[in-house]
Amino acid sequence: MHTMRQTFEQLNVGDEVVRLVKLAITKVQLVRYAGASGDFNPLHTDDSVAQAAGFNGVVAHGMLLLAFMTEAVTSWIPRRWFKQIKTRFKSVSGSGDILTITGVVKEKHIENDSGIVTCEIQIADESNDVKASGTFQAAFPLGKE
Amino acid sequence: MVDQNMVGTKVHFTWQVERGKIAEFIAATGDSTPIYSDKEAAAAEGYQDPVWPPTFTPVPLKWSGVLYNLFSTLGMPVHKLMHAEQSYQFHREILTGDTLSGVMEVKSITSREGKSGPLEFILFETVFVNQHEEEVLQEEMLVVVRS
Repeated sequence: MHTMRQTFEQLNVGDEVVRLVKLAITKVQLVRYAGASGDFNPLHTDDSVAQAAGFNGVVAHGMLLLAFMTEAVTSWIPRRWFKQIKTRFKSVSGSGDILTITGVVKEKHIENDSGIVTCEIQIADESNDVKASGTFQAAFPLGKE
Repeated sequence: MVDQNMVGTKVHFTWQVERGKIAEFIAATGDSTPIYSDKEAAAAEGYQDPVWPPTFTPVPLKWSGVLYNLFSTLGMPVHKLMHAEQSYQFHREILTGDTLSGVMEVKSITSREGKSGPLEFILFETVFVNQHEEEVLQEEMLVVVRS
């Protein structure tokens, strides 16, 4: 199901345009991401290593959270309109966390015949602890949607 | 401490974008966007082949060995590293079957006092170019070394 996407003209600063709730992170998912990405730091897959480092248990890869954030963006706009993203990792996430990604329009302007939309984006858990936040930019083609 | 003289160090690598590796990656992230795996879905959006997922860069950087070799060269112990910031600029699409060449550069090394001792921040910039000599992607990765 797709909700109707607004046109560049219809977007207003402050609009929430991105919202995605991901399934709870699982330990198996972290093992799969380790294998897929080639990041075998045991902090992500071995509870005893994570606990020795002061965490409750295995810690999700930061880049997995960023993958969730970009998925949320491309569930709003087509991949080819997605031009940039910048994010800062703020706190760790682990197995069982249900993360929600939200994006809000911060600024829009026209540049080189495209509608450039800058949004704030964040990913947070159910207690609203923000795991990562930043901005992304989309380029809307003008006058043909 | 990471040697300040390492700023400007560059490493080169090449990477073939494979469908199987993308399938494994999106299965892990749970991203069901069809254009990353389905040729017909990609074609419907005007792509000749399935498309590279936006955050796929760890796969070439880690599996090629280039990132961990650079960490080792810089004397950065992997168990003390935390990923602090990440950014991407998407210039052009990358498709399954493309051959990428990349240059990863150490852009800056800075330090500051943290709550539990000194922290060092290492900024890496990587530029990816495709087989047509077009710049397709730029990433910046800021990594912290805890003391």
